[in-house]
Amino acid sequence: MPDTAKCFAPGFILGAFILFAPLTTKADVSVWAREQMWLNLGHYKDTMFGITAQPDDEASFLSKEGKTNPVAELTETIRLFEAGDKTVVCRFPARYNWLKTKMPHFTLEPLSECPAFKEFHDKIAAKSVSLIFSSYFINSPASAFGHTFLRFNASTHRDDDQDQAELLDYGINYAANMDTSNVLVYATKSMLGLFPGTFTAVPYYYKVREYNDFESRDLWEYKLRFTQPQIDLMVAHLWELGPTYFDYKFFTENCSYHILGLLEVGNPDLRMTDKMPSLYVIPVDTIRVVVDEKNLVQGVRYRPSVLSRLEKRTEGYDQDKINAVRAMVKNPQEGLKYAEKISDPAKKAEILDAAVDAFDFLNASDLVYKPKETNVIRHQILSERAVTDHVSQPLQMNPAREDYPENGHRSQRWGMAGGYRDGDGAYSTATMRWALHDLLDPLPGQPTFSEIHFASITGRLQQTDYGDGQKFYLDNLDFFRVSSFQPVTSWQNSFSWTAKLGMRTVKDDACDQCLAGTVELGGGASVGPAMSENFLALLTKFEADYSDGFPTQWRTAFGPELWGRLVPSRKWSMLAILGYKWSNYLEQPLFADQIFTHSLEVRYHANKQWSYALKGIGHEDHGREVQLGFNRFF
Amino acid sequence: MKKLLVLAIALVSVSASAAQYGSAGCGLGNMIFEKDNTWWKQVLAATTNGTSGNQTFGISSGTLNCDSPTPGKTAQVEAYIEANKMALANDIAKGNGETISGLSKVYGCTDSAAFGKALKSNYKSIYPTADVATTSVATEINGVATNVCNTQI
Repeated sequence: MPDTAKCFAPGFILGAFILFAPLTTKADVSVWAREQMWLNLGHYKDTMFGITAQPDDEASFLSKEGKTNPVAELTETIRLFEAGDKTVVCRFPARYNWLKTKMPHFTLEPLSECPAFKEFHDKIAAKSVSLIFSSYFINSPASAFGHTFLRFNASTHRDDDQDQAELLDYGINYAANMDTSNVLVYATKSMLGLFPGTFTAVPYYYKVREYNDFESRDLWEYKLRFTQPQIDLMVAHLWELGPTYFDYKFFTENCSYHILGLLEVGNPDLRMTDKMPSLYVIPVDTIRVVVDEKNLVQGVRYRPSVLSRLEKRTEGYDQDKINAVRAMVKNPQEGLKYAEKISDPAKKAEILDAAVDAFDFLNASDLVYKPKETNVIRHQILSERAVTDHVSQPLQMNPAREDYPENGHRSQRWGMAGGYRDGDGAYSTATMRWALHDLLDPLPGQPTFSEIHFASITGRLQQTDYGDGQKFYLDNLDFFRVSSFQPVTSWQNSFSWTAKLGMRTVKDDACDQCLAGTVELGGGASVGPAMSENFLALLTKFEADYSDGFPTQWRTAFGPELWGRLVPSRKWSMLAILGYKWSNYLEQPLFADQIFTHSLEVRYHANKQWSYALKGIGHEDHGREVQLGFNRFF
Repeated sequence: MKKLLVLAIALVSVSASAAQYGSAGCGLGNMIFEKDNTWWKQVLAATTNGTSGNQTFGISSGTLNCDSPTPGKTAQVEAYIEANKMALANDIAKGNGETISGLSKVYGCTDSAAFGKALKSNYKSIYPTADVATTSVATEINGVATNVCNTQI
């Protein structure tokens, strides 16, 4: 008996240990917590301050230390799962399904246990996933960065071989939730990261209407290769992300960044977020990272904007036909007479289809905000089209491979140049630009008539007094320089403009080597032949420099500028600028001086990485310079 | 229009019902900028909004966390018609197009081409005036679907 009792006691304790002790050891958990899948599910990243999870909603962690301690978060997750708390399982189905592969006694099936999650899962019904890139909006250089989101391609309305009803799929968007429509408040708050960013799922047709029709932006759809279990895991993780938020950071943790993060949950071998620069994540760069992954992209589809469709339909139209389309759009009662005279229904349908696209492009905003008034004309055109006995086939548009967004030049650029300055002597410069594109950079895959320079800095080593001395200084800094030179066309009456905020070193008789803060603004109009990349623009330009080196601190200049760009081939581009300005460079008061300036730059694009540049600048007071250099995109 | 769109989303959006843990709820930031190409706003936008994607259409928010009931097919069709209003009218006048393919899937139509042709010949009854209510468009289309596809919802 005593022996039995002795045995019993430890036996009981051992039994209790087997029954209630965790089946995992601390060692297991700390190994699993280092697995890439766990780090991806928690969005853990190494930072300067140690490992941190990117979600900023405290409620999205199960452990109090979860934000900075993946082991603690995993331990707590396992503890709650083992305690059989179904609300936790239903809150984190992706975590649960991943742990199932490690813990055989995790036998719950979230899809059968969690009705709300099942509803979500079944509605998305994802069979595959596409990454969607929304390209630039023709008159908005801001959109040159583009935007990315995902589309889960549903099995429910798809035949095996056709992508015919993708409008019914769900688009997954990550964006800042904004609580203001005031653009100034918006800009400030967004810079400070004060907006929460969340994932949303909306039917893809909303995105198509928004981008293709309302903003006239082309969409590029990259169908990606993932297995069904990987897709299911992404959907389950999207469910986990639904109620949480990230502080929206415009430069780094933006739409495109977190979209990559979601893809990495599907396949932890993809390490795309780690390949993004830490300072600035540009959506089009994330497309490049995705395209560069081996075997990830299965196919690319182009979905033309309303303007692209219109240009395609009217390609080769003579002026008569263009005028007829314009007349139909403005005054259908008169304009439609042209169409009525066409006896061949196919030909009549063709010009009416062009008129519908022209109307939709020209009235995109009114169609949304003033639909009642706007629809009156539209209805007349469509009624005529409906009685025209011809069914139009969908427009076939297949852009050349080199025009795909990922095939444009890279967003960052550095360069060096050597030159000679009249009055001083030889000099050399080094430039670094973080983003994105200027008027002379290679055009494929970029907005044709826009430039956006963001954070571009040039240092200069200048000989002075014909070689007697040397000086190194900040030559130029663009916080930003943004321009739009869309020529006036049959369909667009665009205003051309340029704006710059930055610093530069002034080198002239009145103030040599003065570092000045500078603002430039210009507005006017451009013309150019149809379907061409050349343009000629006339602007009125205003410039202001501020420096303690000037006797009056402020210097201003005001006057006309003529810009001309010539792109004779994909290899060459040229830009000439002539200016005449009233200024107080030397004389007081304001605008007492008149100054003539001119510059010419020619670039040769050897390939997508390297361009060579020859540049000459003439300025009555700033002196003349000529320089030769190169740019390297990376 | 905006209100309609937001409503439409509430109807068709995926309801990732998160009643017990999602306090974010529906509809934060349903709007944002009016379409505005004033140059200085673009300059501002260039430095901020550029990487975020444009929110102009006011349709992409609050939809994952909304606690909305599963909509019936009728509501789904109406939301689809409302959001695709312009494109659908274009396609019906042409007798062919992507919005018709989508619609024919919703109705379970096997012959999308025949459905498109039938819609085209009924354009006048679907859109009798420039300003037709979505519900009436839906009713008319429903009638065409009943005749051509032998299905109705």
